[in-house]
Amino acid sequence: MIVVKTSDNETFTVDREVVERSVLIKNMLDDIGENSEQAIPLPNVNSSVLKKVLEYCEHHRGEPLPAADADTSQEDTRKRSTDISEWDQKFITVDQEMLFEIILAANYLDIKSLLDVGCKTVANMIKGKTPEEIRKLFNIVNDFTPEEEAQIKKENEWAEDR
Amino acid sequence: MLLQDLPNDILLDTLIYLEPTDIFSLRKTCRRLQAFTSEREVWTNIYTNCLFFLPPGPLFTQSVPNLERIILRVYRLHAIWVNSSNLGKPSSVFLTFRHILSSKIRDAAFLRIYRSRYLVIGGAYGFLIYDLQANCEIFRHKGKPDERLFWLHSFGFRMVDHDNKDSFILFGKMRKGAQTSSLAMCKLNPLGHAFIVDTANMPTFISVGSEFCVLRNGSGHSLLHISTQKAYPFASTAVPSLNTRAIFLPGHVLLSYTLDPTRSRYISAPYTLLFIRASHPRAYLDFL
Repeated sequence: MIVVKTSDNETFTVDREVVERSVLIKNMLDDIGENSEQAIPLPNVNSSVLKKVLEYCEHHRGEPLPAADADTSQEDTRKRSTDISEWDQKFITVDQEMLFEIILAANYLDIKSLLDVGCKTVANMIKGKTPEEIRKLFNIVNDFTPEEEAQIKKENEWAEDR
Repeated sequence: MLLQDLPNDILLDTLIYLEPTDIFSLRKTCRRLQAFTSEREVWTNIYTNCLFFLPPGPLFTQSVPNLERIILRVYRLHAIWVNSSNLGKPSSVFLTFRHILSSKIRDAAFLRIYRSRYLVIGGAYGFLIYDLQANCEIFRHKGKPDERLFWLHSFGFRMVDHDNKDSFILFGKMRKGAQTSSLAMCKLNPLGHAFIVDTANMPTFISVGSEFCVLRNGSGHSLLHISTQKAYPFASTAVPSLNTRAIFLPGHVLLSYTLDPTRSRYISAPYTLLFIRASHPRAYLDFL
């Protein structure tokens, strides 16, 4: 069992197999050796996010990890589809704040598959929406001056559907 | 934590799942995303990860707008062929087609779309014209019980493909037991109103061109101007009444015939060619 410590000083005790889905932690463990009693500090992840991330790792335990430099052709097919498996879909149905936190944590902990699920989810949220709808959905403040807005509209006119 | 606060490499990973139009939408939301979606790295990344066939690239010589255009174009092409958002589901156009075909006409033998708008379905017992744009049937013709309609490849809308002119659908009619067929037409005006032009007294037709068709009756041949339905007879001695074929050239009709009925099917038959000026009000013959 491995002990990890979050930014808010909470400790989690997890199976090595589960926690090793994080390439970051796997490399750390490889470096410090088997029998370290010390908790692994994760200063960029808070406990509520880590809980979610560990839930994901637990569900996907035992699945093969993508190789460090995966075959590019495989990489391609994986990247192309925005389909998300049913369980992952349910797992990632969280509020936006949590979604972004999970993405950041997956990026930091180097859990490629979770990062993909997160990015795909964000992409699916954006797909097919107008700029106004995107602003509303993500609470983006329109910080363009009217002149800038007109300029951007003009620059992108060629791309509009005719 | 907001979308625009995500680090660039994560945004980069997200954008490869989006279509170019979505990225253009993002560009219009705020300064941060406008700046980011104009980065060269974004477009080279999409280019390399693009699912569709693209020209070799991204090249250093290609500017960002250049890359954007190429990617947008390839997505548009794809959208035309496969509507990715409806993947697996037949499109509404397909459903309309299937509905029309399955329910509207018996033994449909002729199917054409004209001006990307008028769908003509013809069968042996009638035909209909369906306006795909307005999604409604605009004309239906039911043949007489003793009549069979037939459709040849060379028939269809004739004359006038300008939007403010009439169009004609030509088809053949064969009366039960009769030896010869006759020409019939349906006129479709620019407003989408169609009606049958009865050419029942018209004899067997030989060939149909864009403005004229060549007809044969008992005594000889004539040239029919489709849009006015005016017939211009040829001198009856000029063309023998059998084994005639017509080819339409701009301003001329080329008639070929052979006097040898047994060999008429072969290229080697001794054909004689006649030129007919079709642009004059009274057609006349020019012997070659």
